[in-house]
Amino acid sequence: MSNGLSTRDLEWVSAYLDNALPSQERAAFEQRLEAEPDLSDALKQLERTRALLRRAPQRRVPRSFALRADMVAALRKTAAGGWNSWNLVSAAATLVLVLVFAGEIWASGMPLFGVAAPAAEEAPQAMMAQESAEDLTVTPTPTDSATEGAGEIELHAEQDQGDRNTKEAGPFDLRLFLADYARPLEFSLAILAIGAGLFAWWRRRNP
Amino acid sequence: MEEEQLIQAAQQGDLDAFNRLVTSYQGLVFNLAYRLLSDDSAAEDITQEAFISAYKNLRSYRGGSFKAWLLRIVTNGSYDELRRRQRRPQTPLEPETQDGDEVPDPAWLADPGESPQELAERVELNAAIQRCLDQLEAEFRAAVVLVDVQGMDYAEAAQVMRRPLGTVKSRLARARSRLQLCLQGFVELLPDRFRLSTEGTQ
Repeated sequence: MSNGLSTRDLEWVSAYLDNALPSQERAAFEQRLEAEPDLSDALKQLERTRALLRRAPQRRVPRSFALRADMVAALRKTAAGGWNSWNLVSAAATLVLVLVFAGEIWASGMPLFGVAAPAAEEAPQAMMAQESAEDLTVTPTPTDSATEGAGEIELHAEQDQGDRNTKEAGPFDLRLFLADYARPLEFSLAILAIGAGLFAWWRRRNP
Repeated sequence: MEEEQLIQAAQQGDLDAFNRLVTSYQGLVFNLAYRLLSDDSAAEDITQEAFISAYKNLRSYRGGSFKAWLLRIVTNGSYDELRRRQRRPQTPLEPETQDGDEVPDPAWLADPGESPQELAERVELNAAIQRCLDQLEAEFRAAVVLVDVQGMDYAEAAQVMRRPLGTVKSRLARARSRLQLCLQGFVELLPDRFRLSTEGTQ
């Protein structure tokens, strides 16, 4: 505050000095100036301060700041280099992340772009087959003899082992791979995309 | 060539056209940086960086006041420099007075044709103003430098500072009031014609 003026009065005095008050407010303020000596005194002092600031010497420019051709060439090189390295890494990681995410949806059997994955059509039948196999394997009927039941369980256990061996040794199954590794892969790719993007941004700001 | 044509040519990669804009504005840009940073070499660096940044981002300029666009770049650069200084305070290499003020170098203030007495007065005035400006927060300092030292209107200053007009008005009023109090403290240093006493206004 100046001369005990309120902040609002101080703002009015300052704006009046710069002819920045709307005409109605200006007229009202001029009436107050006539009636309140403190206000007119504050106006005079602020006017002197402004005049003093306007007399602040302008500093002479020490040199030319014009850009040279070699500076511009270096600038283009930096910009191009920046895009080709970390921005590219970030963009590639983002693209792979989107593909993995789409693949995960496809593997889960949810319709992707209106087309259900083959797994979705096969799933109910497979589940039913699996359930009946489990019934046969785990729940022996009361009429079966203990020996027959034991033999059947052994037989199914061998079959299961055989299936697992086939899975392990068989061709690469993308659906199984995505089911097992999609989440950690997505997490790693997201970290890479964000990290590389941030680093590229930082490099641009601090060449 | 008009400014608009120079900007268009520069946007298409004409370095000469851009450098003509640099020549027109370098005084204004450098003085703004100097008043905000109170440091000759830092102002020089920020000015050069501002022009490089302007050249790099010229395609993003979409009309309006080119001056305000350019001054916004240098103001933001100066704010960054002030923040950097707050994080890592430095000891100035320039000689200092007992009060810790830098001894002003009158060489850059010299104006051919003025007497040694006038030069001394201007050096004193400059030191007093800069010392008081340094005591203001960055945004208050920017408001008063843009409007009172550089002579911009409120609308232009608001564009440069990216603040509403009302905020600029309010910051300017408070900055002026604090500068007034501060400059009164330098009253004995200032020549009579610069003094702030009310007797002088009557």
